[in-house]
Amino acid sequence: MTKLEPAGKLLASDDTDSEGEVSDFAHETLLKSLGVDKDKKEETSKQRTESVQEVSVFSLGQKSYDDTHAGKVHLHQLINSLEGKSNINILKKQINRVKRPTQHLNAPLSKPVAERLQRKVEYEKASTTVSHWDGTVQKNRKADHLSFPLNQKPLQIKTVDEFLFHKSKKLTPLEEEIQALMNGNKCLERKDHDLSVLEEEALTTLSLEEARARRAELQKHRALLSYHEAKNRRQNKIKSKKYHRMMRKRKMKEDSPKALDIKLADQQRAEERASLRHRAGSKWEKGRKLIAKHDEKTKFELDAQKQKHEELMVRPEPMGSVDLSAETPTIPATFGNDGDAFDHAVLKLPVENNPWLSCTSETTKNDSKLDNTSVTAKCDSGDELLCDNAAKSSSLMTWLSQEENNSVESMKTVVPAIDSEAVKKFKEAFSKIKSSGDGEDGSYDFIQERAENSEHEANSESLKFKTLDKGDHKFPNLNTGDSPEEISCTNLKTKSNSTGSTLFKPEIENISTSSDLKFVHDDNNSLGDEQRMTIEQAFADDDVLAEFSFEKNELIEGSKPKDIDLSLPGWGEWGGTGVVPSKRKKRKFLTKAKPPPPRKDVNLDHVIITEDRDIQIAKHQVHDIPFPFVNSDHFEKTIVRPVGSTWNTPSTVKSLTNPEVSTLLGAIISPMDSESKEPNKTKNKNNFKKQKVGAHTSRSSRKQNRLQKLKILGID
Amino acid sequence: MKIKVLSRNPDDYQRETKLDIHKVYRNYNPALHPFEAPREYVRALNATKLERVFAKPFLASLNGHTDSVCCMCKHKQRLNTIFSGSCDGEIRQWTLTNQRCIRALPAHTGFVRGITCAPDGTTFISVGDDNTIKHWTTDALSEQSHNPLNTIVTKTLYTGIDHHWKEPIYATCGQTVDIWNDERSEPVKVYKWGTDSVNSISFNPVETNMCVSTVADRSIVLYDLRSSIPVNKVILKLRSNVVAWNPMEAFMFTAANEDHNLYTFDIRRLDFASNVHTDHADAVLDVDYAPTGKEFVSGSYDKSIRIFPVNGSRSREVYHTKRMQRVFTVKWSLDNRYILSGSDEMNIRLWKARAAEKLGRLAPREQAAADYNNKLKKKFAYHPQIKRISRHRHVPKTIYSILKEKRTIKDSMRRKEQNLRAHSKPGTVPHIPERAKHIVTTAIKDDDIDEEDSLV
Repeated sequence: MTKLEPAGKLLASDDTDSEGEVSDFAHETLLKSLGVDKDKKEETSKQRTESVQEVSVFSLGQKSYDDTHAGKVHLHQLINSLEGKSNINILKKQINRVKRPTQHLNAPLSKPVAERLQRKVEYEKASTTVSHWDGTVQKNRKADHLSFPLNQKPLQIKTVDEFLFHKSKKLTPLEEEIQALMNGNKCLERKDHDLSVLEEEALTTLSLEEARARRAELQKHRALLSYHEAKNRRQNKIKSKKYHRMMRKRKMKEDSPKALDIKLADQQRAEERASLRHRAGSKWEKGRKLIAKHDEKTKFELDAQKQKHEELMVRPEPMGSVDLSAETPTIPATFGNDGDAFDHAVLKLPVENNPWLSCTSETTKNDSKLDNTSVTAKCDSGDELLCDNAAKSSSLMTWLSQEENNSVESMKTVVPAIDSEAVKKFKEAFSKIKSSGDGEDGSYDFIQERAENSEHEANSESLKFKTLDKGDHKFPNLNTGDSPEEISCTNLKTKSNSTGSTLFKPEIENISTSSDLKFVHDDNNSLGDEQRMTIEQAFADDDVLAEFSFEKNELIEGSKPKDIDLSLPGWGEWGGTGVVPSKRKKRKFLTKAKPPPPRKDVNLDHVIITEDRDIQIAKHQVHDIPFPFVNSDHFEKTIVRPVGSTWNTPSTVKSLTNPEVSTLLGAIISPMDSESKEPNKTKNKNNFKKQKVGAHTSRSSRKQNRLQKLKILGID
Repeated sequence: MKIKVLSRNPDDYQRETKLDIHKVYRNYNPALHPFEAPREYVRALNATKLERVFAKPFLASLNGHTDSVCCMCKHKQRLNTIFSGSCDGEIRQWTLTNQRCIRALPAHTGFVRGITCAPDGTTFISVGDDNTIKHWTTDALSEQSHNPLNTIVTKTLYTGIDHHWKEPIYATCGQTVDIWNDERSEPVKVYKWGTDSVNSISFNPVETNMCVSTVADRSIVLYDLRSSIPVNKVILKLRSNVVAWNPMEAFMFTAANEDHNLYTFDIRRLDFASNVHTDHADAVLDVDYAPTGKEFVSGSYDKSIRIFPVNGSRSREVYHTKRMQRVFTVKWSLDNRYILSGSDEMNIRLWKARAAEKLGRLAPREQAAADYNNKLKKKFAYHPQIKRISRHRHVPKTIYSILKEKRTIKDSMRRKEQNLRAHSKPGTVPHIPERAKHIVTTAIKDDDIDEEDSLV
């Protein structure tokens, strides 16, 4: 079948057939001598010899099936033929083109898919086209008044001037002259401007020097401003107290140049500083503290000093010098080295001074003095444990602390790591209790017992101790066995659902981080009483109950039907001014009001039942706020404002009653024209996007609708 | 002795002529005019009551057709001319001024399926069941008035026709949507999407290259003449009969549906109806917009006509008469004053668009009074008595009972859904808004476009 029998091969085979003995070598030499290259022979062998009409596709370019190696033509074989050829670059390009991988066109998409894509593009196009109308449509939707057909030319009547100026008739020479004068005149007033051309020019023109000077001035001003700004910023950053003190003094001097004043203030301050012994840091205090344990007198001195300190700590009246108050040192309280460190008088002092500082605020004040304490004590009168011995306790001290791990173990509690100082304080306090108390074995046992007694499981994170104090720095109540000490574990997780545990829940975290003591100081009365007292004191002036009853009485009086007196003084009587109608007449013309039906709240002191609602009127009243309104005020305002000509001037009435849509009688209203299209303010695509946001759109459009409606109703 | 005498200038109190109105001196001191709100409330109440008293919308009946009226067309240049086609193939031209038929043309054999008027108003085109499209002159007095200007015999039946609003192009619908040139007898363009027949077609009056058709497969298809294929379609739960474009808002159209509702769509967001207009008791057969684009009128198979505000889901007005049968076609006149309805019992009825409005030119004082009353009605519209009176309409018993039944069904379905939601896992029974409930799907989803945008 092969029409392309390699000619060379045939020839070769013929050779071998005819001359079998001739060796290959001889044959090759023969070929060489003839100038026939073996490769060339291969090359030529691929040529077709016969011209046949039907050429098989399979045989095209196919190499001989038995000679696999020889059939392929490699590049290097072709190179020989290039010798002597001048332009190789062209060939290179051609080869490169051949070598490049073939690029196929993709198969066309199936019709439905192609159409879908096309549709999408077309739809987007259409959407953007119609979006151009958004501005116009929105404007028309929001418009208070629309007059159809749109784009009506407003009816205008020319003024005399306009009419005269625009008339085409030839003017008289005089008129022409005047007009020429008027037209070119710069002094002429202009309709659309406030100033005439001349005036404007005068304002705008500045000489070069003037302009330069002005610019320089402005520059200078700006530079100064920025310089001041930078300076202030720099000064604010300086941390030195001394520097700021100096600055303040300097400023004072500037403000009040009287040297005497400054000196006086300085002196006062110095005296203050000299007399005030610093509580935390002073050497004197440290020394005294050591002795105070044994010496009553020294202790007294120390106390007095603290009292003085407290007095100074009280914020002075606002009229006092600000500087001095700022200078008063704030003393971090360090107490607890000895258990009786809290002086009753000292702590009470601010309370006496300031009625607003009740027990709670006092506590917080103390807290603020204590470093690290972030816990606020709860003096909840509802706390059962507090209330139990409220009568007995003269004052309460609640120490809140966290226990060490070992103590925690003893109480079956889990407590995070604790500040050792706090523990020390805690221990000291308890050693005091222990030493004074008879029946107590140990602090931990005692706590445990207490915890069990108060049906709380000892699984606490914090403990609240309330110790009783009668002011003599002893704990006499502890001595008496019958009255149990107010050491309560309030913050316990309870097995049973007790109320106390939940009360302090949010504080637990705070407590775990803080580790210092905290205490509540109180008066002889119970906490609840105390609070009520303070509240009563605070609201001494406003008696709510009395006020309420007064109000109620007033209401009742107001709602009672009144007597109607129809008597006219002087009518039918002789006399002038100041005439008093006779009693008979008064009686005659007075119609007494019927007693009202008994009120529903007659027997209820604490309730006012209004019986104003009239069913007959309620029938006509709106019950719910209608849609475009959000509050009743808005709605009521629209109702209250009259629109009629009885209350408004004709022009107002006209503007108020202008209909939403007005049409011209007998005119065809043609559809919206592209001329009336408004340029969109926002980008169309964005607009379109906005439109696409589903629920949002509806909501926003509803809101718009509402606004629109409100606008129509005349509310801004 | 000086005697004081009252003396006044007669100009202050006397009219110049007796036709003048009396000069009224007013003191606007609010103390002199107490109880503003109650007084205005009473006025509003009276105005509302009077409105109901004067609500006599029916104006005239145009009789002459010998079969039910199935299509109508307004003349685009003349207010007083309409064309109507009936089921026996007759087309009539009417003059509304004297409510006379001026021309009766035996146009087609079988139904006249659609009539449309060219924008210049010189010709109108009709399609009928006899596979012909016929061009006619609108001039009843011309010699050619009784013969068509042009007749095109088509291969297939056409069910609707509409003319482009500016150019000499019209579209017909049947098995396909064909776009024709006025001068040619072959369609210039053919749109086909699916195999179902197309019921109606309507050109956009603003963006004039767009049109919308309703298809028997429950879909509404959007076309753009500049593209070679239909652009998009939305499939509703039931078939839409007709679509009307809002003449003032280029992208809004309303579709009259078989499920007794009308759906207003924004063409940019077809998967969500921007409003659902309910109130009809049966399939809505035709809809037409007021030229102001604020309202539209719909005719229904329940023998009533309703007027809806564009942004409201409930109708503001219902018109019916004892004799009026199924309403096949409605039109709103181009001066926004009248409504025309063609119904099964061979009559065309002329109604007022606002039932209580006084016809003709109003004197300025009349106009002012009407404006004031309208304002009062609007101001006190939320007051229960006024609302009750202004909303009250008498409807035929059939409609009344159907609406009642529908309400019951709707309530029960809502209750059922609520119960289902209450007793199933939260989130498994989603809230589907009424506006999305009736829409099955769209050809192009919003998500697709969003994706495209993000890719770009």
